[in-house]
Amino acid sequence: MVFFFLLFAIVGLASAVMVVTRKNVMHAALFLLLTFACVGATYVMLRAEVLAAVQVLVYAGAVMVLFLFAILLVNMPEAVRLRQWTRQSTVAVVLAGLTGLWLIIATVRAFTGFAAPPEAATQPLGTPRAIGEALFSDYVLPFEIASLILLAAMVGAIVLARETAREEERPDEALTDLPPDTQEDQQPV
Amino acid sequence: MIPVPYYLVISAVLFITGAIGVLIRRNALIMLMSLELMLNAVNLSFVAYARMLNDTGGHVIVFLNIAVAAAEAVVGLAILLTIFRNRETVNIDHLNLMRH
Repeated sequence: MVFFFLLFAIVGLASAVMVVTRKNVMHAALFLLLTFACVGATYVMLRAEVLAAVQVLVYAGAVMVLFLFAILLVNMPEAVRLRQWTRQSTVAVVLAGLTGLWLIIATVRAFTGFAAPPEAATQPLGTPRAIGEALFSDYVLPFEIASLILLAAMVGAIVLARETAREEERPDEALTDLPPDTQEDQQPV
Repeated sequence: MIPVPYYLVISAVLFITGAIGVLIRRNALIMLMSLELMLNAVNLSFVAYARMLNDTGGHVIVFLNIAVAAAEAVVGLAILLTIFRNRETVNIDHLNLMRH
């Protein structure tokens, strides 16, 4: 148990650092996939099997495919040669490091001597049944809001794609050098 | 059996790594990836607290959080692709149109 905890923690954190430091976007995306997998494995160790499955399906599946498509569409050879870091890097790292140090110290100080409730080992936690019952009784309003957010994201993505398509069809710039008969065919309806 | 606060320490380190990524990188794609790292760190701490307090509510919040993160990635990448089509760059230092 300790071995697996250390393995997933070290691999996950090391690949997170690689995501932040790699110049090549594709390498960063593949290290991000490794981090997602390690976080999913950590969910299993915390007895959240359903969430581990969702993590692999949604993050390592859907979100990563989305990122890879975006990288392939945006791929610029010169992007690797550019300066990669902002000018305030040192200040940002120092401030974020101090914040992280404070966070870790606060966590450790708050939980020294904390004992879990005694029933912690007996009750079922994170089973599909428990999550489903909680989702459709106590948390039904957040569930509905989440479905609205997904609908809004879908409509937003479609609108963004359509908007650019319509601008490309704008007749005054794009189609001036075409013969007149094809120009009439491609007028926006 | 690993004590739960160790998971919280991992979550804090992961969150700070993502925050540093957002702050220092100039490639908008990598900034979005660092945002995903931060969201994962928050999810990990929710699951750790759910384990500590033996409450399924933490799992439900993470479930909804993953849906929101997926929606955020979709919209963020769509905006990024639109910017790239119009400006031919994903370097955030070149995206200062509003300043002029």
